[in-house]
Amino acid sequence: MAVVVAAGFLDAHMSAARRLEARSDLVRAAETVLESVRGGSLPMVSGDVDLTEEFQPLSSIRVKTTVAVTEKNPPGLFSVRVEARAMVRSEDMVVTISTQVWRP
Amino acid sequence: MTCINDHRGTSLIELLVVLALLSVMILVGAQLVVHSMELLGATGRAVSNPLVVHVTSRLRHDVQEAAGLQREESIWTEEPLVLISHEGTFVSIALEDGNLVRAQMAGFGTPPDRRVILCGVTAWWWRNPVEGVVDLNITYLVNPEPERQASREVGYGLERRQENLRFAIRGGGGGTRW
Repeated sequence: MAVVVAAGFLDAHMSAARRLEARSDLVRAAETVLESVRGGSLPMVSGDVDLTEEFQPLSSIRVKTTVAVTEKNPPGLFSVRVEARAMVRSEDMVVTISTQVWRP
Repeated sequence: MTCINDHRGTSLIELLVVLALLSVMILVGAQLVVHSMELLGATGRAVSNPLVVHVTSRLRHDVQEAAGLQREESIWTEEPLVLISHEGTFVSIALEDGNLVRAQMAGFGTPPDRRVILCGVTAWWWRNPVEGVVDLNITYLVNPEPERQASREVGYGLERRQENLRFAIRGGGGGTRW
């Protein structure tokens, strides 16, 4: 029984540690996409973003990033929503950043 | 006369043995809970290392507030990154003897305010792939991850960790950055 309890706690710890690392990576990936859009390195269009060259996660996760752009008023103002997603120990983790970009 | 010898129930010895086993299991379980909580806390601190968080925040602020670069490099370089602010002040980030050094100058000829912002840095690279975007790559030494460190003997080695950062320059005012 003690072995089962021990295995449970250790697994819970490992899982929590992986989720923390993954979340940190997802935040950094989303920031990288957002700064690329803001800086003009990525076009102001919705779609999937390949970050293989710009971003390497610290943990062993595979990050998928998408950007959604919506035009707003006044003309030149865009609503940008960046989503970074990864599977961490069979759990889908998502980090989303929403902001506005002025591109007159 | 009949003598009834009833053996049902538990003896005091059996009860003491069960209690002793339960105590051992509770002790082991409690130790595991405490150990797991300590490791989880250590992991959290390792992921969001306050010093590295502070350094990345400082770099983020410096680059985002800059109006431009003194010298543009489309390919990775180890040279100092010199940022020019809207007011004409300069901020230089450079690797010197394993330390990441930030120097701020009010202008040419003025003595710089130099500070070490991160120690144990083994590599420093930067580039601006397109105008207005700066990529930073910093490799530094850290303690191993807690779950591996916990099982090691005294005298474990340091590990390398790499930060890849991308920031957009916004300090020019107006323009298309915001």
